[in-house]
Amino acid sequence: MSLTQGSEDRNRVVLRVSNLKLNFHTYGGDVKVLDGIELYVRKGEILGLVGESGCGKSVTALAIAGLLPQNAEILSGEILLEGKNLLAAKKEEIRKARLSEIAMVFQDPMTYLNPVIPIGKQISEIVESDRQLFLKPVIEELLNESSTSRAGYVERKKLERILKDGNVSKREFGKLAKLYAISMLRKVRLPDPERVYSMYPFELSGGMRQRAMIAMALARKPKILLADEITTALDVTVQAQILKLLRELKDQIDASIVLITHDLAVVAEVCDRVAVMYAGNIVEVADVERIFSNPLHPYTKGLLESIIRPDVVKDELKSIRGSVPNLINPPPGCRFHPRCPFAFGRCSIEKPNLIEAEPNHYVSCFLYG
Amino acid sequence: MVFVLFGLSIIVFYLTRGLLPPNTALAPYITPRMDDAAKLSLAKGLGVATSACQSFEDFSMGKSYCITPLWNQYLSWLLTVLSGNWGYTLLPGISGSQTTWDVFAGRFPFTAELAIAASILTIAIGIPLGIISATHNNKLPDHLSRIVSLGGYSIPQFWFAVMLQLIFVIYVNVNGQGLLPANGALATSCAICIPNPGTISTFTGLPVIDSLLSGNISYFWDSLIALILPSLTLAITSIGALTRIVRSSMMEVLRQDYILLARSKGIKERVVIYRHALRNAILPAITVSGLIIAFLLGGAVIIEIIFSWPGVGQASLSAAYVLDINFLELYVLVTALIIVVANLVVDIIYAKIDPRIRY
Amino acid sequence: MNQAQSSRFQEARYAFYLFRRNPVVLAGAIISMAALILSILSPYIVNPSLWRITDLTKRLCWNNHMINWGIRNVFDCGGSTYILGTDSYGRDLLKMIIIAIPLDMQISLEVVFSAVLIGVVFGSVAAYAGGIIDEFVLRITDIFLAVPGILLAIVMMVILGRTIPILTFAVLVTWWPTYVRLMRSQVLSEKEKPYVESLKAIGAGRFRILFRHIIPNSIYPIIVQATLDIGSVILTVSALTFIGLTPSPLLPELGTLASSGAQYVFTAPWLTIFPGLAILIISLGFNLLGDGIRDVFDPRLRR
Repeated sequence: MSLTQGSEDRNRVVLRVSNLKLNFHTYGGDVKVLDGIELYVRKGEILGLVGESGCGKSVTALAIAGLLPQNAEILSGEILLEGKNLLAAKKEEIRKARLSEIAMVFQDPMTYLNPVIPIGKQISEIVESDRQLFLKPVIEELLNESSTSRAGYVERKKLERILKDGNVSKREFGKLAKLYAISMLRKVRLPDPERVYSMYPFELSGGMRQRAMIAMALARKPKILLADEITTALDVTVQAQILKLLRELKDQIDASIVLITHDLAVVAEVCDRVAVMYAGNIVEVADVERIFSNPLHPYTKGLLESIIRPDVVKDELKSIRGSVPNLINPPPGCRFHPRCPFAFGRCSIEKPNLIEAEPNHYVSCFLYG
Repeated sequence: MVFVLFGLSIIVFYLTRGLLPPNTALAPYITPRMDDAAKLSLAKGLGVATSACQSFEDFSMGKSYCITPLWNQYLSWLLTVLSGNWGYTLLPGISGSQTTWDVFAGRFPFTAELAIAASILTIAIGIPLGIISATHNNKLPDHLSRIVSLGGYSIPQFWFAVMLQLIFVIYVNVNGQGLLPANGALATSCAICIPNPGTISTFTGLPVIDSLLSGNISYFWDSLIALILPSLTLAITSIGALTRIVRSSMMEVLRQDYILLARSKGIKERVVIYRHALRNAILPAITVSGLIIAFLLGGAVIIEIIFSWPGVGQASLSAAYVLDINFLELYVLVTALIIVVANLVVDIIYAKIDPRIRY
Repeated sequence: MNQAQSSRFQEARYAFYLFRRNPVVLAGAIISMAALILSILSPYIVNPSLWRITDLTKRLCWNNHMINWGIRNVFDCGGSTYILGTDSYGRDLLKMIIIAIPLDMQISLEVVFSAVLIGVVFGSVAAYAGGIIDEFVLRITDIFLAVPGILLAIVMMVILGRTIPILTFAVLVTWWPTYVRLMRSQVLSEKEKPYVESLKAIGAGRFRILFRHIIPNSIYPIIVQATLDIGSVILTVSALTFIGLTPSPLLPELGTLASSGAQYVFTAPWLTIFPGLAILIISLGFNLLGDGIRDVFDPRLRR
C-alpha cells in the first residue's frame, strides 16, 4: 500500500502491480502462490526480481503477461500497464498487449522454441499477425537498415511508397516481414542471419537460441520485457554476452526490463533496482547498491550471506535455517517468521506491510516499524 | 521392404500350399478339356510334381515320390507369378476363362475407391474432433467428442452397417423409397438417386473419378451416394482411433513450453493451435496412418460383403471358400505392397514435417 | 520407507481423485466388471446347453409389448414373454446372449493374455539383447504388420478349419506383433534411464535388472493396451463369425447370433440389434476403462 504513496516519480512508472493475490488449484488443495505482490517498474530501468525457486517470481511474470495456467485463480489486485488495468481487460486486449507492449523471454531456449518451425518464421509470424500495427515499425526499421547498404537504394523508393499508402498486400508484407526478422536476428548479433532465418532450433547452440528468443521479443518493440531466468541454462561466458546484449537492446528500444533470477551476481551486474521475493511476497525493494550495502530484511541478509565471495574469507558457508514453507498451508503472519532469527510475537500473528524504511528503500518487516 | 513382401509370400504360400492337397495348386491353371496326362505335365511344368511322377492319380493322392519339396515348389511358384501368370479364376459366378489377374484388376478399383473415401472421412473428421477435444479438455465438447471417438472405436462395424441400412433404407424413406441405397457401388433406386445414369468410359477404374472425366454428372452423383454408407461404416473405427490419438498428443503438446512462448508472442490463439501445436501433435497421427490404412483395407472385406460392394474384399471370402489360392495370394501381396509403400510415404511425410528426422 | 509409503498413499489418493472426477471412466470400470462377473455367473443363470434346443414353431417371435418395431406382421407366438424376442431357431435371444458373452470373453481374454505374454518376452528380449536378435524380431513383426489381420485370419480359418481354437489362434497371429513392438520400445527407452546405469554400477545382474526393474517399469502401457484390446478382439472375432467363419450357425456367439439375424434384418431387426448392442457395450466398457487407466497412470497427463 505504501508503495503507491511512495516517493518514486509517478510519471515514469510504466508498470505497477498492486496487492496481487492468486491461488493455484491442485488436487492437494489450494496453493497460495502470491500473497499480495507490490511492484512497480520505471521507464527504462532494469528491475531484478530475486528469490528462491518456487517463491512466485515466474508466476508474477506470467500473471503480468496474462499467461497463467488454467488452474490459477486471481483473488485480488491490479496490474496497471500505463494506467490500464490488465486484470480487468478482455482476453483479446491482453493478447494485443502481449503482441505490442509486454514481451517475455524464457529460461530454457531448447524447450521454448517450436522444434518444427524455422527460427525466422517464429519471428516474422509476430509482425505478420497484425499488418496494420506493424506496418510502420517494420518499414522504418528496413529503411533504417537499407540506408547503410548500397543495394538498398532502389528498395527505399518502394518502401517509402508503401509507408505513404499505408497499405500492402499480405504477400508483399510477408516478404518484408522476412527481411525484418533477418534484421532482428542481426540485431541480436547472430552470425549469418539469412542462414539462421531458415534454420531449426535444434541446429543452434543454447546461446544462439537464447538470442533468437530475444529477437522475438525485440521484434515487437515492447515497453516491458519480462526475462525469466534467461541466463540460467547457459555457460557463464555466454551469460555475460546475453546480459550485455539485453542492456544494449533495452536502450535502443527504450524498454523496461524485469529480470527474474535467483542469481545475485547477475543482479549486481545489470540491474538498477532489486525486488526480493519470499514465498509469494515482495519482502524488500531497493536500488541495487543499497541492497548489497545495506540489506534490511532478515531474508535478504541471509540470502547475501549465503553467497560465496572470493574476497571474503569465511570459516563456514552460512545458510538460512529451515526450508521453504508449503504454500498450501503457509505460516500465519509473516511467511518468513519460522525461519527468521529475529522473529518475535507479532510476526506470527500479523502480516507486515511494505514500508519505506529509508528513501526509495522498501521493506516488509516489523523490525522497521 | 522387399524382405517384408518376401517373408509374407512364404507365410501365405505355406498356408495355401503346404497345408492343402497338391491339387489345389493346380486348379487355377486347369482348363476344361485337359485330360490326366495333360494335367500331369501341367503339374510338372508348374514345378509341383516331380519329373519322376508316373500318373496324375499318384500326384492327386499326394504320393511322396510325386511331390517336389515345398521349397522348390515355392521357387517355381515365385517364377510363375512374377512372370504375371496367376492362372484362371475359380470364383463362382464368373466365367472360368477369365484370368485371376483380370478379375482382380477389374475389382480392385472399387476397393481402392472405398478405402480412399474412408481415409478422407477419417482425416476430415478425426483430426478436427481430436483438436476440439483437446482444446476443450474436460468440457462439453470434449465429452461429446470422447463419446464419438470411443463409441466409434468400440462399435462393431458389421452392426453399425446393418443399423445404418435399417435406418436409411427402411425407417427414413421418401415416397416409399429408402433415402439411401442398401448395396452396390452404383445407386439407381433410392429416394435421392438418379434412375438411369447412363454409362461411362474407363480411365482409372474408380467410378467416382471416371464419371467426372466422362462428364457424366448423374453417374457421378449415383456412385457418390452409393459410397456414403459403406465408407462411413468403414471409417467409423479409424475415426475413433485417430480422434483419440490426436486428442492425447494435442493435449501433450499444448502443455509444452513452446506453446507458452507462442502464446506470449500475442499471436492469435487460432494460430497457436493450428501452426504451433498441430504441426507437432500431428506427428504421432502420421506414424499410425500406415496402420490405419492396413486396418481400412482389412475392414473393407467385411464392409464389401455387407454392402455387396463389387471389390476384391468381397471376392476374397468367396475365393477362400473355393480355395482359389492364387486370388488370395494376389490379394494379400497387393495389400501388403500398398501398406509397405504407404509406410514409406509416411516416413517421407514425417521427415518433411519434423526437421529433426532429416539429419 | 516412510516416504515411499506416503508417496504411494498420495498416488492412490490421486488415482481415486481422477476416477471420481471422471464419471465416464467409472462407468467403464463398472461395465467391464459386470461383463466379467456375467461371464462367470452365466452357467448358473442360464443352462449352457440350452442353445442346442431349437423350436421352429417359435422362430422370429416378438411378444414384448414394451417395444413396437413399426413393422407389419410381427409374429407374436404368445406364451411367456421373450424380453428380447426369439431367433431364427426359436430360441430365447436373451438367454442366447447370456450364454454367448462368456464365450466371446474367453476368446478375447485368451488372445490378449497370449499376445501380452509373447509381447513381453520377445519385446524385452529383443530390446535388451539388441543386435541381430532385435533386428530379426523386428523384421518378423514387420511382416505381420504389413498384412491386414482379418485377411490372414480368413485364410487361416478356411484352410485350418472353422473351430473356436483356430479362430482364437488366427486372431492371435495378427495381434501379437503390436505387443512386441510396444514392449520393445518401452524397454529401449527404459534401459537408457539413469537408474539402470546405477544398478549396473552397484553390480546387479543383467537378468535381475531386466526382470526386477526394467520389465515392471515398462509394463504399464502394455496393461493399458491390453485393456483396450479386450474390446477390440471381441470386435474382430465377432466380425469374422459374422461373415460366416463360425463353427456352427447355431453357436451361441455374439457375432454368429447377429449374423443369423442379418438376413431377417428388415422383418426381425431385434435379431441383429441386441447381439450387436451387447458387443458394443462390452467393448465400450473396456475401452473406457483402458482410457481411464491411461489417464490415471500416465505421469505426462498429470497436473
